[in-house]
Amino acid sequence: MLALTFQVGADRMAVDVRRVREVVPRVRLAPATGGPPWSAGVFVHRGRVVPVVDLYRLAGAGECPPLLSSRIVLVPFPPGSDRLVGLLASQVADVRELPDLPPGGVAGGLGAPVADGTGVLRLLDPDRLLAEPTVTAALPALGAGA
Amino acid sequence: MSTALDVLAPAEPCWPRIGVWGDRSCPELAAVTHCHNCPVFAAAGRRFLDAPSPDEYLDEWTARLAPPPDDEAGDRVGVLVFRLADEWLALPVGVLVEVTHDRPPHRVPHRGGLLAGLVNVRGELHLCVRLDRLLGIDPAPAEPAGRRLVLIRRDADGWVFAADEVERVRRVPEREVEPAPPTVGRAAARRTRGVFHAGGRAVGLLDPDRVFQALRERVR
Repeated sequence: MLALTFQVGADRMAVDVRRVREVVPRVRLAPATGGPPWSAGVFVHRGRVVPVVDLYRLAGAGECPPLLSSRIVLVPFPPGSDRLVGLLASQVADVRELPDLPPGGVAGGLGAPVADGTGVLRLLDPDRLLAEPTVTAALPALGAGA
Repeated sequence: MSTALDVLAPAEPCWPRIGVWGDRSCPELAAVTHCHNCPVFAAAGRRFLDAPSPDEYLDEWTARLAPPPDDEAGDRVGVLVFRLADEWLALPVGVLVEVTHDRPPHRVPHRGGLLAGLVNVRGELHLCVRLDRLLGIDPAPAEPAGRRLVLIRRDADGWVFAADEVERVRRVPEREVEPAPPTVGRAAARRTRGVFHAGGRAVGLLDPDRVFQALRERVR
């Protein structure tokens, strides 16, 4: 499986590239007033409003640092639709081959842990993350799925 | 392994000291051969991306991502726009291999006319032709600084010609290519598929079929 790797707080993370529509640089985000604390805001992507989830805040790791390596990973949500949701993380800079995960892995926190050399890589399942009731309920108000 | 960038402090680059730019004493070299293949070097390179984003960068990308996709344009053809003397011409990128710096061709004894000689491009010898003569364009008087060699290929047919200037690749909507005016009697018009306007000038879009056919018939 080819995976896009990135950093969220102290966790090295990865996402299956087949779940990713596009990776764009961090842009100016319009704040979503009254939105959930993990919302980084919204931006206009090719004429459409796309809500952005700050994975740092969602993981309780503070705020995503404003660096060049911080990028927005655009994933389709709901799965299979042409609507997009952005996931903001740092060090989005590498695509690597990872061993396929056995099905039914335990997803703790942001994703299932995978051995990666001497460290642990967490495999993020964006569909599962965004299907969390608290996240799904808040996304329409931010502009997704409307 | 919490962050890849902890591998190396920015103040201490190892490659000029013990790597291939140093005394080559680094034990990792046996495994990776060159610093370019070393994860320490790669991690150090990524440090450049750990700078804060400049404001202009954020503004530029915010503006670039915002506009809706340009659906109405229809079919577009990518063309390389170049100049021969005072004539602006274009060739579809499908036949383009490379644009490279000008170098004098090696003349072939007893051959002149359309054949300017042989040129070496990346170790391969190519026939260099005078496209301006083929198209009946009067050659430019002086050697301009912007001269480039353009390598084109279709199937096994490869040719190089010198352009006095290469502008860039443009994506031209197919319907903006108008037929060339029939009053133009030059050879250029016969090898042209049409004319389009770009950057405030009329550019003749060459028909690659006819250009390759003419080169085959008249040079070999």
